[in-house]
Amino acid sequence: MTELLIHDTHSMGGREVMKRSWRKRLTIGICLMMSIAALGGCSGGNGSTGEAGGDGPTPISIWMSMNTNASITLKSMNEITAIKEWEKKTNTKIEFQHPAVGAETEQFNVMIASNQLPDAMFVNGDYAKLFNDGIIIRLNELIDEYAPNLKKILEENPEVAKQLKADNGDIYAIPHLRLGEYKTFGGTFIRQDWLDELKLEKPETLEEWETVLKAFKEKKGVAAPLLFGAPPKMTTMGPAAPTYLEAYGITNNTFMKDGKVVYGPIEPEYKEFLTMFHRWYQEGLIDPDFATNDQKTYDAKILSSQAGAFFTFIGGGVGRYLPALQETDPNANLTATQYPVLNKGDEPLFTGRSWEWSSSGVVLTNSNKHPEETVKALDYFFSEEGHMLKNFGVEGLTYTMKDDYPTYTDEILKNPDGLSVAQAMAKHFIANYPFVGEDDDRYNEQYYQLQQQKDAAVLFSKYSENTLKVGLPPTSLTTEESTEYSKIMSDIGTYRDEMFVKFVIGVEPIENFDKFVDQINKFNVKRAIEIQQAALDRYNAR
Amino acid sequence: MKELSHKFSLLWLNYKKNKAIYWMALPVVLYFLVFKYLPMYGAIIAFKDYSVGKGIWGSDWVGLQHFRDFFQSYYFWRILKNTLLLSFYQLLFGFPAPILLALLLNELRHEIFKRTVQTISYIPHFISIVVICGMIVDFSSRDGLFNTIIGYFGGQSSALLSDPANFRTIYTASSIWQELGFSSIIYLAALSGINPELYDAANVDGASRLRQVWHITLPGIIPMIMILLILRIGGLMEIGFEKIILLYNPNVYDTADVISTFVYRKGISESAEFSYTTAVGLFQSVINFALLIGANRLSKVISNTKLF
Amino acid sequence: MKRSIGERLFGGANAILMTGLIIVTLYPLLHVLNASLSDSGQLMAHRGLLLFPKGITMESYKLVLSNPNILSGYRNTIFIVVVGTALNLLFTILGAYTLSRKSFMLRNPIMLAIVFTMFFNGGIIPSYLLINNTLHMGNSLWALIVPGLISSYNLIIMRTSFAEISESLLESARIDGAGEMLILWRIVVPLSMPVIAVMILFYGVGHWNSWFSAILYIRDRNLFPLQLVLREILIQNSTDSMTTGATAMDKEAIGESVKYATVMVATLPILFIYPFLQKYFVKGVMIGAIKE
Repeated sequence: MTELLIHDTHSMGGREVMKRSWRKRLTIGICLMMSIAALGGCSGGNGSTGEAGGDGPTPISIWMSMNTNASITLKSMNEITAIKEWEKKTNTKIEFQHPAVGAETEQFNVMIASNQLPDAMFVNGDYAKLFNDGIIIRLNELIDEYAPNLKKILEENPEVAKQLKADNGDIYAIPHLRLGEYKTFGGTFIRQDWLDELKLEKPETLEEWETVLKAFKEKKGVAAPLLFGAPPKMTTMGPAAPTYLEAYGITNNTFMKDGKVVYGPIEPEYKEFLTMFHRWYQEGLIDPDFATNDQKTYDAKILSSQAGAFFTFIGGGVGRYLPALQETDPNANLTATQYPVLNKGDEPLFTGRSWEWSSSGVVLTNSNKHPEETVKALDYFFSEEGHMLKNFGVEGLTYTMKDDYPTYTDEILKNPDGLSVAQAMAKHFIANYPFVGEDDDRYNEQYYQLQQQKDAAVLFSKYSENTLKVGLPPTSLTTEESTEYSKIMSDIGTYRDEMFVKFVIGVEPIENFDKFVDQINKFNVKRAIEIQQAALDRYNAR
Repeated sequence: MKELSHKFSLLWLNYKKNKAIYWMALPVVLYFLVFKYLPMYGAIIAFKDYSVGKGIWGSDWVGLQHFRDFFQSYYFWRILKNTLLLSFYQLLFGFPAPILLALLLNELRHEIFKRTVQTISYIPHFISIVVICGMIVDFSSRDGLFNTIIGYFGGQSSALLSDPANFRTIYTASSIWQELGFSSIIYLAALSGINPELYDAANVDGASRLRQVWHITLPGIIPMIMILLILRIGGLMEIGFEKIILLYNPNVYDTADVISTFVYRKGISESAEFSYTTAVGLFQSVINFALLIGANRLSKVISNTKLF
Repeated sequence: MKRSIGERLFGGANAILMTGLIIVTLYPLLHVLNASLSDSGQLMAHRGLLLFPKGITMESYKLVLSNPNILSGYRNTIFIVVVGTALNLLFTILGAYTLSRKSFMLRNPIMLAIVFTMFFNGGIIPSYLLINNTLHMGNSLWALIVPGLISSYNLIIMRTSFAEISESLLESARIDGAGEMLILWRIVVPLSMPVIAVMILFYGVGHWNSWFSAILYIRDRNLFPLQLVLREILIQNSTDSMTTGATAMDKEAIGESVKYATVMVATLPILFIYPFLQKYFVKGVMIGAIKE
């Protein structure tokens, strides 16, 4: 082989040619690398493009995560019918910038780091911090002058204003508000058809629950009369919701008791709850796999009729499960049950109610060159006209007024292109995910098409006022407080979750509850409570 | 000074003698300088309270605080132990397995059969970990596949993933299952680089296949094995957290909670999160690097193969 | 060449073992294939082995393949794989060769410096600033190719392999007047085809599967690589996105089967690379077989 090569080089002229040859190749290589770097092409600028020009529409760029229903049919929120109307009415040219679905935090961070900020961003986070870092601006004065509709709402609803303001009175975001009746979106549902079959009433107290679950186990022979999940595999906002704990008047995190901040798991009621739940576990009333359940196994157990009662969401849960169940069993029925209580006649305190301000809204960045126009444009959604546009779309196209009630048209409810209701809605307006403006109950009433869903919405919201007494309002912690608090609570959280499973399964005897409390105290839970208390006091003083 | 200039002249001589090599290495070195060393200053946020708004240089200095928080955590020893044990098990069982497979495949005589086994065995590597873990969770449940098999052998069925004693086994066994085929590819490549004349000579001498494997095949791939082993040891402190998150639950924290899952759950407030994660990562890297250097030295002594 | 009884027994046992291996490792693919062709509702309720699709339907594939970004996703990824892998090979081969030359005085220090970068890095932000702000590669496919030009791991493997080549062979070429580049490209590379095939596989698969860099650098949806598009489809149809009732109510949108169709669309093309590369692994053994 070497002979062959030597032959080649000789025929080309020997050593000199070879030297020149490799050097040439190398130079090409390096040039290639340089040009690769240069060829990169320009990085897209993020600030608004184009001039405002005295009379032309004001360009405003908004960074926002794109909702999945919208992204199925549209390339960007710019194409939403309501948005296009909005541009016309406010003489603006909106440019939405969307991070890749599921990667919002990363893009957000690098955007800030590389100082390429859009005019506005729709965020849900630590506003005070963003302000302190100089990324966003204070909006109080701008709202005063340019947002009359929002200003009116805040004046008429001082509680809402309190939620929106920071401890020092600053307002940083044009908010997404929910001022209607329906504030709870999920709860415990039960197989109504089984109740009917066994001639049982819907349970309200824990005792009644035990009877019903026993009946499910013995008469229906199911593996999971009460289907349950455990954190962190499932979130406490859903399938691992501490619904049954809350019947005791406490919850498994910090909450308010007579205006004072308390941590549930170290209260004596927690022991009572653990005792009961452990008993339920031993008697097979709770799904024995609860600790390992993930969303998939959770769904599978529901759909294979192995579960009698479970926590789920009105829209995304019942809306999926019920039709699927009814395909194989037309008699299947899921109805909502009220949040359970200890004694007959008691009212549930914790109802998973959301606050009027969903903690999300639009902030203006420090590179916004038209803050007045921006605020004015955003305020449009709080006007009567804008409100209808946001929640119902365009009259004639997506809704019609029937007896003064905005009714969605077939374009939405029976979309000719085969889009689902949520997708059709997402194409034309913004009602089922957070955006600037106020939500409208009439949307919910129609979105929930099944009677069981409509009933659930009413039932779950019945006692939502009670939650105001026990739920911690949206307080804000300073950066130092926040760091300290997270440090303490994350260790406690791990411990609490681990011990919960151990107590319920029985690996750890309930007698050791005091040791459990001691350990949590050792984690300095008192300090965490102090921090929250201080934040609560500041909130109340706003 | 004389030492230094002596070294420089040696370097200059070496350059004159090997100009081509130096120029060929240049683009490679440039790459590492620009894309790896230049951005290294970012590691400094492990010693700061990094806030995206203030930037890397503007953020406050906190020194070793993040490290202290980490070491003083109630769970520190547990997660450290679990990380090391899980890694070690993977090493003990997961490292030799692909080598064994490559050797066995090498012995197959039927060409098409050999290629089929190769191709099929490497497929699981490509299936997303989410899907694989979904299968594992399902198979491990009370009425799942694994328990059915256990039942055939007269055992009791139980929620396998709820028992901390099972976790390491399930984790390691499933890793081997998924990675066996793909990991064997590199050894197969090394095997086909062995000079066939060696085998011919051995055959002429009447050596049995087993002796051939021991004296020709294995030594032929020892350099590759040792290098990969060194690199593997240099990854001991790292356990990818995605798979564990998908498989674990609070009941098995005792054996399953590792450094990365703990940090992931910690979800510290925005400002400290970046820094804390970087600090923990730095700690792991330092240990890993030390292990690598140690393994390199050992390998030099044992097998005369070294990384640097 | 006669084989002893022992060897024949061993051969038989080996074949049985390998067959068992096929069955066990084929199952995941079978499961995914079946699930992708199944009806989502039935699939969600199913437990245990999935040996056949449940309620065969092409719904999921239709959903995945009708996504507006799928075509551009494939186009972008193919570009990245082809151009990226070619560049990877160029640089890695240069690096592996030079670092494997014992006459190169700096080879060990450089190797150490390279290994160091495998353990210590500056994190996302400085790299982002470098690539996006300084080099202006942001929002282009080059940002997905250039930063990952050389994988240290792959470099080490290739270097180990290059070091195995007999020095005398190369020495005689040098004596005859061949320069280093010639030796590299005309002798070393052809002799190292198995390892190079492995590198094509490693780098190629790496490019094919990558999505994280795209999340950071790409803002134009038309430039999304395949995996990113698929990831979005997955999240769009995820059963986990059950938040405050914002998911569609229709059954089709449950998407359990979509998850699997996504995996198939993402994985199938790359699975075909290896069989193509396999012939490079056979070289040594083939020559031996011919001699027999």
